[in-house]
Amino acid sequence: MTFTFNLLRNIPRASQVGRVQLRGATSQFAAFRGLATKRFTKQHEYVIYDDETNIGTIGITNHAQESLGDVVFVELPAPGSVVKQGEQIGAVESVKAASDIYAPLAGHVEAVNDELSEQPNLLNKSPEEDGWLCKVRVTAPEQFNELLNEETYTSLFAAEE
Amino acid sequence: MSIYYKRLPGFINYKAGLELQERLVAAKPTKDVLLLLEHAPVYTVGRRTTDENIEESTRLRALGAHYELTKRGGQITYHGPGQLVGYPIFNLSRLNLSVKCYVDRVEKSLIRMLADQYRIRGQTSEHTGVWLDDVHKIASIGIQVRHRITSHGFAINITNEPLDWFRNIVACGIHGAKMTSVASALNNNSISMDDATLAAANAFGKVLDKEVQQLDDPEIDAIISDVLDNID
Repeated sequence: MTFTFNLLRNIPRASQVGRVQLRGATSQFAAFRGLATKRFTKQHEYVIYDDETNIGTIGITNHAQESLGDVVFVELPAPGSVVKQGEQIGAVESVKAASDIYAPLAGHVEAVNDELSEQPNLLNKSPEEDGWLCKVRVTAPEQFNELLNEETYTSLFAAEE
Repeated sequence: MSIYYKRLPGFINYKAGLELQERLVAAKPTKDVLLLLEHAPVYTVGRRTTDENIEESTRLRALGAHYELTKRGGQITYHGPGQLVGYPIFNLSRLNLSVKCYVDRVEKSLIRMLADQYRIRGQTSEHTGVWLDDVHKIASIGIQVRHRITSHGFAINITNEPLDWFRNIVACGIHGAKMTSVASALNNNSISMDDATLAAANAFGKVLDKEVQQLDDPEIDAIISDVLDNID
């Protein structure tokens, strides 16, 4: 498990993809497909999926952390556990409210972000990079393709406001 | 769309209250329901406490209260007779509220209730909940949100009966805080729980800008009587 975790941490693409997307151009985003791409759920979770390693990095979006407020506690899944799509994988507590988090896709939990137990507010500071929740070995990659792309996701909550 | 409130009779066993909320959340009600009740004496801990602290639970059970782990936010608290507990089973998508705004509305509703019914001025602080000043806390909040449906909720001390029970814990993990009640604030020992119940329901309606009416829904009422009749 330690070996896997170190291996994961040394994959640079997963963290770079966030920055690429921040620039926002759809064509740029498309050009990076096949390396690591990022998709979203309506419930404000994201997955950065690397199809070479078959690892999906799961977290909650910046929009989610804004709507939760200051995070004081993060509950994470147990490493080694198997999660189904839509199953509860953890919770985020803010302002006396514990909000459940659901798996955007099925997989085996390979690593969890232990930094969050010391620094739960990483979820506020850097939700889509340093504040990731867990990494799963994806068991049904086709589920990833059914998730929302960034454009669709963004348009959803733009409509909410 | 209105808010539908229902007062549950008697002193509800905490586990029955949990079961009821589970059933209602799972049923995804098409109405926003506010359950109002009093519990039999119970100490409950929040989601951060994943294992029972045996020393603490033994000590608290010896006082004649139950002790339960929960999935709500917040830390240890007490519920019991003389305290009005509210469980809003609300759909935050339907109300168009973020979790942060929802907690804020719950606080505002309790402040509104205190003002309208009792002419008591409540306030918020850096700690969630409703306070009368820097030291005295009158209402606590602890919430769970699943698929945008809320459960758990608030507890506001109406009579003085809950106050002694609170002295056995550091409520909500805040050292130095003292719990108070409507009865203490008004120096009046005959505050009615019925009035408090109605005042809470009306305050939620005003703050959320919704009509308030008593729940009259065969499906939801069936769930409620099923749970309350079968657990004791």
